[in-house]
Amino acid sequence: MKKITDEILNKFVDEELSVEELNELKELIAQDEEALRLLKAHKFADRILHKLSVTPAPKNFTERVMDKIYLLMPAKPRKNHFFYGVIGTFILGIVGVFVYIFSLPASEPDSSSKTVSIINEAQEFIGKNVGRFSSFLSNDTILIVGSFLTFILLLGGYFMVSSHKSFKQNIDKFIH
Amino acid sequence: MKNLSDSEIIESVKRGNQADYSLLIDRYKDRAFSLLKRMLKDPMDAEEVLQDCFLKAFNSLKNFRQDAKFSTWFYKITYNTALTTIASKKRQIEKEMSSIDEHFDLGKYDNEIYSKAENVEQYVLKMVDKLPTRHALVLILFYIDSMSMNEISQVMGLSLVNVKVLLHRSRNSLRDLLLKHNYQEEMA
Repeated sequence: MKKITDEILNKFVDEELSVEELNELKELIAQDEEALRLLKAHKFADRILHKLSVTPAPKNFTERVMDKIYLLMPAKPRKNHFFYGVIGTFILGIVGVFVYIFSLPASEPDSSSKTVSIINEAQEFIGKNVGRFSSFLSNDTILIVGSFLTFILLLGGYFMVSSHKSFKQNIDKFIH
Repeated sequence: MKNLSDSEIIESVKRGNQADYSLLIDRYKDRAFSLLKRMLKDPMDAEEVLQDCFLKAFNSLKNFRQDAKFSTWFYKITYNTALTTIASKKRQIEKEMSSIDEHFDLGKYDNEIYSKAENVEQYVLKMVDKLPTRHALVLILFYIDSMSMNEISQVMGLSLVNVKVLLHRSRNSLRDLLLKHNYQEEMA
């Protein structure tokens, strides 16, 4: 090593010099005052640069970012009890109707005649109070169709409410 | 909670604990803000871009495979977003960021800063602000963020050799200023 260079100085502060190079540098600065001056200045600049400080981010920065994240996050899908309730009730109703229809010709005259008499009483009661609807309601097909229409109506209502909810959520997002 | 490593926090966020992301924000916000403020030269712009960077990182977290450190990955997002912002605002991007071969002259700021500085540290650190953006960024990432030159090259998309060139040039020019003002008595 005849002369100290910028490359050697930078390697020195970055601790990249080999043992041999380091010994050569020591010899050089022992003989050359200018080299020593350069080395000291370079080390000093490096020492000051280690004191470079951070500029703190503005107050409440974390909270502001987290608020935005929560706002952008999709809401957790909720269990739809209403929907399952309607479906369940409908299926139970259908099953009930079928069980009732198929149980009519069963081999228990006593119980079936009991049921028939209850129906007759009910029909009589409806006939007294509702009159012309009694014969109409006694038809099984009409009952099933009625149940089905009721189900469709409930389902339609459900979808209307849920679409209204999602529309409201979209508007809220847009406003915020 | 605060002693969790970056990868532990990321795993927790991926499992659905979004609130834990605030730990990562707290960990990196100040250093990233320093970087952005230096690049964009405006604290308001820096804050806005920093928010954007944290949101981008959050949205891409599920794709982050932890091959690299989170800090390197996040600073890369920060650096690139800042470049995009500079370009969109039509600042002097070509003048400031185009080439690492650019020559800079700190001499034109020297007299003013030297006369106002209360001590040598303040003088040198203020001169850092006058370095071209890329040179200053390498110094920040190296000295404040303690990044290796390899990590800096990943963040800035430069070769390792070019990162070394930028770092060495900055150091050399600051050293020359110290020699010029004969700060020898403080160098020992």
